[in-house]
Amino acid sequence: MLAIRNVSKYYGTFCALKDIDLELSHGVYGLLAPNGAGKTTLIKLLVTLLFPTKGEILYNGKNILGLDEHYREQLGYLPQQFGYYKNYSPNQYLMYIAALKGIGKAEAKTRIGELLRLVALEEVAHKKMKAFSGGMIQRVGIAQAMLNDPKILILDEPTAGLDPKERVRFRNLLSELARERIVILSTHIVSDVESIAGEIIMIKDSRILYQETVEQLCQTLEGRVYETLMDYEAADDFRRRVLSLSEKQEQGRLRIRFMADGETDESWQSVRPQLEDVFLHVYRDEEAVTPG
Amino acid sequence: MRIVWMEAGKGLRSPIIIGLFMLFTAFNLFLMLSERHMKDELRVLNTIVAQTGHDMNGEGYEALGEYYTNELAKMNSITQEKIGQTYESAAAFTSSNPQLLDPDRPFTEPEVRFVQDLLVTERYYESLPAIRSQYDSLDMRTRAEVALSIMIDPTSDRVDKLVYANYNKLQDRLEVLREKGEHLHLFFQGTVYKMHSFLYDKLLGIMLLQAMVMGVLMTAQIMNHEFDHRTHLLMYATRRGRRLKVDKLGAAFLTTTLMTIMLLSVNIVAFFEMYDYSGLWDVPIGTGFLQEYDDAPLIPWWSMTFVQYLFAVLALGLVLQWIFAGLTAGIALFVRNSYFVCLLFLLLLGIGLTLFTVVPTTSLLIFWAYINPFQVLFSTPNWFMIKHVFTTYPSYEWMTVSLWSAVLAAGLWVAYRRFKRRDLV
Repeated sequence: MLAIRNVSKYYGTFCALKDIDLELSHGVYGLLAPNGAGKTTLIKLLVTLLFPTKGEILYNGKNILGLDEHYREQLGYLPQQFGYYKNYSPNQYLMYIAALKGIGKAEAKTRIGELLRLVALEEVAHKKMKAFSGGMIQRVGIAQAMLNDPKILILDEPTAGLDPKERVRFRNLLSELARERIVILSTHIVSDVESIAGEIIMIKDSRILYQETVEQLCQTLEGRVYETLMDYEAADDFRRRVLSLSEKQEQGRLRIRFMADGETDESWQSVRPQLEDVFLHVYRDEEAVTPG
Repeated sequence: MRIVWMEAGKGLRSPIIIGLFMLFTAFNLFLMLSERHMKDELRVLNTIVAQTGHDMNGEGYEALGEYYTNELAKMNSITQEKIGQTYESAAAFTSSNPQLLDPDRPFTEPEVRFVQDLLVTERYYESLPAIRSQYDSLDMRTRAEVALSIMIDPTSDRVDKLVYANYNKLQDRLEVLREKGEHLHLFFQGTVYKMHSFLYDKLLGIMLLQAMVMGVLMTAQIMNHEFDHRTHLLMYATRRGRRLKVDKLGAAFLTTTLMTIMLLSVNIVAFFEMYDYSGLWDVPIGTGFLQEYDDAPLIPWWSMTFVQYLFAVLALGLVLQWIFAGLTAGIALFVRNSYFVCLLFLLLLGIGLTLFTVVPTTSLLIFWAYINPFQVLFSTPNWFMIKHVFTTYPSYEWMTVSLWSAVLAAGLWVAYRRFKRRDLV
């Protein structure tokens, strides 16, 4: 089990994370927040790239900094900015990372073959990566994260660069992997985690706002989310009164999904809240909200 | 070790390094070829040494005299037959017959070559008494006085005292050298061929500079490869973690060693293939023939043969490369960009070479201003020998590299500890 105890991280006087308390056991955890909220800082703390200013992170009751390589050998990590060597083939690249992960040559060879098959890159295993598309590079990244069959898999914005088909394939893969390990998936794309995350962690104002299941989070908006159909002329005035969650054109009129507290109207149809609604509600004042 | 080799590959496979290695080797070979015209004359010495040995103390000198007299007699029998004259020396013959190869002259090409070889033999034979007499009258204290008197900036009594003390040690060494007769061994005549500075300054000096350039580039590249390619977040979060820097340091030393050995061995083998030193490997490096300018004898601190000296120079050259690699690695533990690492190293080089200009010559600190590897690098032809007044003492080279190695090792340890506790963003 991974436990984050009272962790704060400051860069000089700037507070990136404050008093973070989390407990993570097996399953997929969706770390959901807009860009700049502190997701990457939290992840870098978890992979020992950053050191907490205050507090500690424990793995099975022991401080991860003390465990050092014994902790990191349980880790699989795909950073947000996933660098690679253009002149390496996936095979060479993964062999190098396997060495850094302490995997023997023979074992690495077999494992790399399996993983490249899994991410559908077997055909290009010996081609230089400089000719790869963003999606192919990202799949190499996913393969490297899985090299050591990690107990803790941490993926920072893993679906960036993947096309819709690859994203679905990736989600299915993660669901499969999550059975016996902790998977932390950091994203600002709600659909990436909605269907697969056992729990959603939301960060706001440098603190943990929620650590709940998708259902529990949606319940917080129960009875407050509606849809209605209106003329375009009336939309501006309406938006000032409610929080618009999504809008689409329907039969020459505007179908608007919104959140309202207190007042109701007969023309409003109450709908079941979704994670995206919660996200938009929580971060309504934040910029760079990208529901997908 | 697997990771060390993988890291080393990043440096050794670099196109820049491969390109530089080829360029430098081509340049060095060109330099060697540029002096190839001396090859025939240099060969003569090996012929003489094969006849008489190189030790010109006592019997050797007599044997050389006998050899020379016989060769002169051969020449005179030719001249007697062809032009009805004999000469006291080969020089006398050639000065009165400047157009030896003129078709109207009666001498064949092999005869002319024989005379030219005899001229060379004669020059060696006649130089020996001059060297003996020069070394007999050599006094190192006077040398120190002269060296101090021609300095632009005045020195203090304390500085003078230390300089004299060092030159007194050199005087002791000179007396041993004279006693052993090290100065009276045949070697390529420095005043004519300047083979010592050709090998140790023009070639080895430049090669060590080339090795430094490649070593610094490779070390910077290896140490900062992840930061340069933005893969650091991934690599330093693996099991190996920040200890990867230790592997990188090992790889930097390994690549520097391999590259230096390769560069030196390729070029040195080519040099000795081109210039025949076969009879001269065990000539004492203290021989008077080494001096290249009048009255500028090169007195080594230790009794070493040519080959021992060569290996000592190569060993010191390699240690210097390790120091440069260590310095670069140290900078790279603080600075993430390879280009800035190289620039900072260049800055250090500049400081090392010019530091003495800002230190007053009246202070004993002037001796310390020269104790840096860059100053050592730029004095290759005088390693382990008399050189500048502030660097003429027996321990100069080894003290400099030992001191810098120790400080560097401590500095690297501190820098690594700091890196281990540093946030990687």
